Amino acid sequence: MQTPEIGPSAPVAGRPPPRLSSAPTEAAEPPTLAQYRLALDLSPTPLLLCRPDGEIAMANTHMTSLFGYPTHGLDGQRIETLVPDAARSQHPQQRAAFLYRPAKRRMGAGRDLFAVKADGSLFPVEIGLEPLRLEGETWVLATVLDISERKAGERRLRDALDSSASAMLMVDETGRLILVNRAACTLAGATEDEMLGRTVETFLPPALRKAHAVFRNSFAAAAEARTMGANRDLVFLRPDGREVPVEIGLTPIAGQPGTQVMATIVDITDRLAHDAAITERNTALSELNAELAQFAYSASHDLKAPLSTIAGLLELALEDLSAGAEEECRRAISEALKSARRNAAKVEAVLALARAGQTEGAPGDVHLERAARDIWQDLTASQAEPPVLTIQSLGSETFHTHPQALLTILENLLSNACRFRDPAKPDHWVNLRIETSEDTLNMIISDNGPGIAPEDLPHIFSMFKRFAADAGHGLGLAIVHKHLRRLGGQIDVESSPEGTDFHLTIPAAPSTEVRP
Amino acid sequence: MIPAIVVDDVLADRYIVRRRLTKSGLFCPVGEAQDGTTFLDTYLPQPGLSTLPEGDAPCLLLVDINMPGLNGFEMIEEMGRRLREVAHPDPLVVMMFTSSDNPSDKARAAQQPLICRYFVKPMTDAAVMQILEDYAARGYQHS
Repeated sequence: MQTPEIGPSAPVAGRPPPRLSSAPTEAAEPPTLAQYRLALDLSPTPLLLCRPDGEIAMANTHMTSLFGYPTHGLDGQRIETLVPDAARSQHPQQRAAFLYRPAKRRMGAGRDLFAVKADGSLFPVEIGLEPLRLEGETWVLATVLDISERKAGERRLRDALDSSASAMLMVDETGRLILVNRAACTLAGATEDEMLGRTVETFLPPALRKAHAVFRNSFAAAAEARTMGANRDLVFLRPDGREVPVEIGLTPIAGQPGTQVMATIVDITDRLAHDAAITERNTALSELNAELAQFAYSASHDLKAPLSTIAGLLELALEDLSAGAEEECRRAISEALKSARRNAAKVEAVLALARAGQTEGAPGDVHLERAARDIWQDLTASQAEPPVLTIQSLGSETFHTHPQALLTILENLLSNACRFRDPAKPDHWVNLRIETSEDTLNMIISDNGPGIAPEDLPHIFSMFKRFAADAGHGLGLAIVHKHLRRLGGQIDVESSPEGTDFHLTIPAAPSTEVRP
Repeated sequence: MIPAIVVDDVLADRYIVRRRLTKSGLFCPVGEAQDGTTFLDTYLPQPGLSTLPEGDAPCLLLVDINMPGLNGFEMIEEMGRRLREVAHPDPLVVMMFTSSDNPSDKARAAQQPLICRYFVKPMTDAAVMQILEDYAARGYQHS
């Protein structure tokens, strides 16, 4: 700090040091203007003395250099010279109000004050005012502090807090918010002004508020940095009522008065969603894996079995050939041939099942009744007395879906209904009931076959499950099931010795057409 | 002669077994059942009643695993329940006869005390030799 310069009007030798007081004692002679001049020049802080009419009587060199004026350059200037434009016009009135009830105080409490330098630039200041009795009037002694550095420091801190992606809330010892950063405002969906001064419990679900106040006090009693609510799901309640899942870190900050706490809050909505998505995907993959294991087991067994049969038959055929047993040899070879053909069909079906949903084309409109009749035609073409097929259609003739999947489902169900006949019944029939609406297809495929035993019903959609001797490859309903799952549809089955009903519900494929 | 029964849903497989057993000249009669339920209904229709064929040795029972309805294991369990009521001390020699060489199937067979052997199809003369050795080990010497 500079040693104050000694001005030309000071000092006056042999006089007692001047006393600065707002309440001059009766006993002592009031200080003279010259004594004030001396006192100002000796003071290490910027000071100025202002007459009641707003004219600057004197300013010390700290004051003049602070404002960029030459020494004594402020003497005789209007005090309003130092007030920014925006506040200048009101300043004389405010001055008059101060003189009406003079008291030592700080100027512009709660507001940011700025002062004007000689070059016209503004800088942030803190101003102290003290009334003085001088020459029978009330003068004002003003101290001016340049708080640019402090403001810059605060701004830097503020910028640092605002740059944090985490919401930060500073809470005082009574639980009120005294500082919030920008991320905190974003998290709360509220402005800084709306948040400051409220208790931190405001941002908790009502049921937890009481308990939290207790926790807060015990934290204050033995404060150490820690994460909050270990193993509990924490929730931040926004003023708009939305609850946000969060993680919170607590750091005590020793302050005056009492211990303050900085709470760092991270919105974990996205992370939870991400975790949930991963869990869901894991579950789906586990299911797929189990399905693949089952597929591998079933495929290896059920595709291998006919080959064993063929090998066994051909061994017999060779022996029969050596023994000249032509009839037996012929029988073994023709059985082997049948097995080979059946197995080829089974391989096709396994591939169809594996491919289901992989080579799906674009959705299109399927004419349901026509498709069912075509399939039935193919199924029964080589049969002497096929069951009688009847079809009832309600609603639109066509349905928007993935055609290949729907046709495969229909084909397998109709094929089953066609093949499983009850020889005890005089006639055989299959009924197809189709009901379409804008977004759903309901189908019931009924037959009067022998029915499915109740104990078999839970297994009918499993691969390679066959419930009658020599009844196909055991994949038809597994294929139906897989295609239905792809289409988001459902299937239910009702069965009794009277016959079997399959109920299907299939949602329409989303329309890909762009409507004008 | 050793009586035998083959339980298998595949006609051709039953034919192969019948040919192999007959060829040795030591098995007669050779019965067939196309699934577990048919076997039980035919030979053990109710508790305490057995129509299992009797001969010089206990009846050989060859059972497939993968069959419609009851699978081979389920059939053998039910058979065990029904056999408890039957007076014969040792009426059957049960062997699995399947195209599955899946370890879980083999393990399950090993745990079932009624099953004494596990063959993988197709049936061969070597398998028949093995069956005869098993009978010999039980004291039924073929001549």
